[in-house]
Amino acid sequence: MSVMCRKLCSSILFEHFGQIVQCVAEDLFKHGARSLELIRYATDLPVTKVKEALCVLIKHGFVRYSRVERGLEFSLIYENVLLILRYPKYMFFIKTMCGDESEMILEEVLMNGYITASEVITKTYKKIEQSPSGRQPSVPVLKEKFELLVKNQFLTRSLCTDTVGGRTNEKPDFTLPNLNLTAIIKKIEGDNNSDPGDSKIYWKVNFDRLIQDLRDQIIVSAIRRRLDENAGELMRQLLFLMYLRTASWAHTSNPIPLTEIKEAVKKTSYPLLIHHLDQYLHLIEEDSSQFLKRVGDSGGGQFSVNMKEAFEQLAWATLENIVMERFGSKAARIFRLVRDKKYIEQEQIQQLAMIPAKEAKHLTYTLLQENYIQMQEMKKSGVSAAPIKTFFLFHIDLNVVVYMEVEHCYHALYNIMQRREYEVNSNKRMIDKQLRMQTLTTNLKEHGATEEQLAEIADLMTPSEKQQLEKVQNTIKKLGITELQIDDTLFLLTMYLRYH
Amino acid sequence: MAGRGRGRGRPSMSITTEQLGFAKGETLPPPVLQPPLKYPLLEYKPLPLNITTELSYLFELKKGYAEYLRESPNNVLPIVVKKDIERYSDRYQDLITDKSSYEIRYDWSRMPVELKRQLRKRKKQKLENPKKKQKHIDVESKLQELEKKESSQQSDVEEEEKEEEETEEKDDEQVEEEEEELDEEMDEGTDYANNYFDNGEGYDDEDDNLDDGPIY
Repeated sequence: MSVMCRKLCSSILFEHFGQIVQCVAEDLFKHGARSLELIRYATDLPVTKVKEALCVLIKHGFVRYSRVERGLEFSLIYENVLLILRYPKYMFFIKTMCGDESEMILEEVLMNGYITASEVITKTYKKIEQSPSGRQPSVPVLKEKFELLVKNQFLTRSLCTDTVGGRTNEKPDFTLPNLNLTAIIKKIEGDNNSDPGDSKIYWKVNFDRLIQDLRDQIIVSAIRRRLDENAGELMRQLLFLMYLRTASWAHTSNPIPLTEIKEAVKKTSYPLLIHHLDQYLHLIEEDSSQFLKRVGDSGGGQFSVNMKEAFEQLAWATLENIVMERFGSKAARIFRLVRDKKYIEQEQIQQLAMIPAKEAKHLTYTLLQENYIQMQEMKKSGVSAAPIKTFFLFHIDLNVVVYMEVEHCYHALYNIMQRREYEVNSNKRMIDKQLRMQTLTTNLKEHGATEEQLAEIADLMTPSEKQQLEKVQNTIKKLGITELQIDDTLFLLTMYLRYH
Repeated sequence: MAGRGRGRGRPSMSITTEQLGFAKGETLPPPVLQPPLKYPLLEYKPLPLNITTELSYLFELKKGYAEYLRESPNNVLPIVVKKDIERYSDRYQDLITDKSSYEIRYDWSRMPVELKRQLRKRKKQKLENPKKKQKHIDVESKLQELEKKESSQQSDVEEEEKEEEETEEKDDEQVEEEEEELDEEMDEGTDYANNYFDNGEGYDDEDDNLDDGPIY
């Protein structure tokens, strides 16, 4: 809950919901839970606008309210705001898992915060109809896709109690309502009186489930990159077996017997994996990443997936890479050495890292200054405090470094968003012009304009303008993609913090 | 020298330059007298960004989502202050923008009722007192004005009275609209908010009045 985090949340909200919502949320971030009157007083906005903004925030799950003696108190859930950065990844994940229609359904739910099943189907139907791909939507298919999403627990019922603080969360409800398909079709055709049979049953995105899936993706791809495709598939199967017997956020899975692993692997289409299963299991188990642990010998062996350890290893690897890219490979060598030896003296560092004394000192002190390593003083008891009698031991406090790196991510994201906004604003005129031209050409094309007319419109923009526009759009795209990549790092580090 | 009396060859300084990695006789770096650069030069350049199709698609999704939300009613827009002139295009602008209030978009069985706009009945009761005050002040100021102008012309006063009655009627209509607006109006009733600055625009008008008025 730092200043940077606040600024980042604030600019995310500004990008999506505009200034008033940003203003209200920032006030809530600064002061914690508070009442409507206080928000109004601090933000100096009209009451109706504050109320409207709060409604938007509540609907999207960014604000929860609780009833206190005098009216209501609102508080911001900033973690949920940061999730917006990851929405595209969720959509893409659903696209690969359940297909294009499911992706559109999820997108629709994300856009509305919570929504009824019939409404989401209606909206998606219209969207597909209007899309240039020319696909023909069908209500039964959409309903099927919706049910698929619910069955996989990507969507969950949105209950009234979700946003009310103080109460214990009830168990997520995944029961499907009986949808009246003919009524939905009628509604799409413009008949507003038909009742699809699910009024007041709202659905929202089950972020917990999606976060778990992204987490599993990280683990699988880590193994795949370390060993090979087959090992990755084995890890995927292991994670799947883990779901069957373990609570979702447990540190380690309950033991999985070898026989079950064999059976699960047999169903896959990886002949090499089936053949060399024992070797692959051994490889993953022996690997320094310690994702898998052998916990017993009965039944050919019992294995347990160690999530906590896995994310610690991944966090270490991330930090090593960061040090490498920021300070060079020699600094990374020192970083690894300190990590390896737990506590180490300066003298030993330069000897073991085989770096000349002066350079080693310079790099160590730089790392110390940038807070990537910590220093511990050890004084001999009973002797004067002269520095020569004191040992200076270097060590790494992983939690401290990870927290710092999370802050860096917030900072970088905020800076990038500011830059992107600046680029957009300073070239607003040109971007608007292009938009106008686009609508004009599409309009004219519909009315059957000649080639000459279209060329005339295209000539409205000078070549230099076109060049400039392309440059700006490239910059914006680059910045946007960088944001997505930084969020990857942020996600991994927050996963580490969640487990520790 | 502080360490002279102690003998035994103790160094006078607690840290020798050798400990910091400088050989004997080597010159120490000069002291830094300037603040560090705002944008320090990067020793190591960041890795080049390779844009895969997957990333491009993710970016498109991100952009589309942000644009949709910005243009949807989720983007709470500030109250637009009406411009001085009514423009022809305004009539069509009203048709384009959704003027309906935010309440109809929410299912109030699952939202706190306090977030609804307040009911009008309650408002009227609350606002009765300030209204009376306002009237009171108006009468006083009007009397003063009347005194001033009594000596010059009588017929004009009558006209003005009519005008002010009209404005009051309008005020009554507006009372029902919004709390804040009323607050502002109340401010106008006090002397502090009065603008005594005369930019001379009304000068000609008065002249006209004199001309048009009855001749004694």
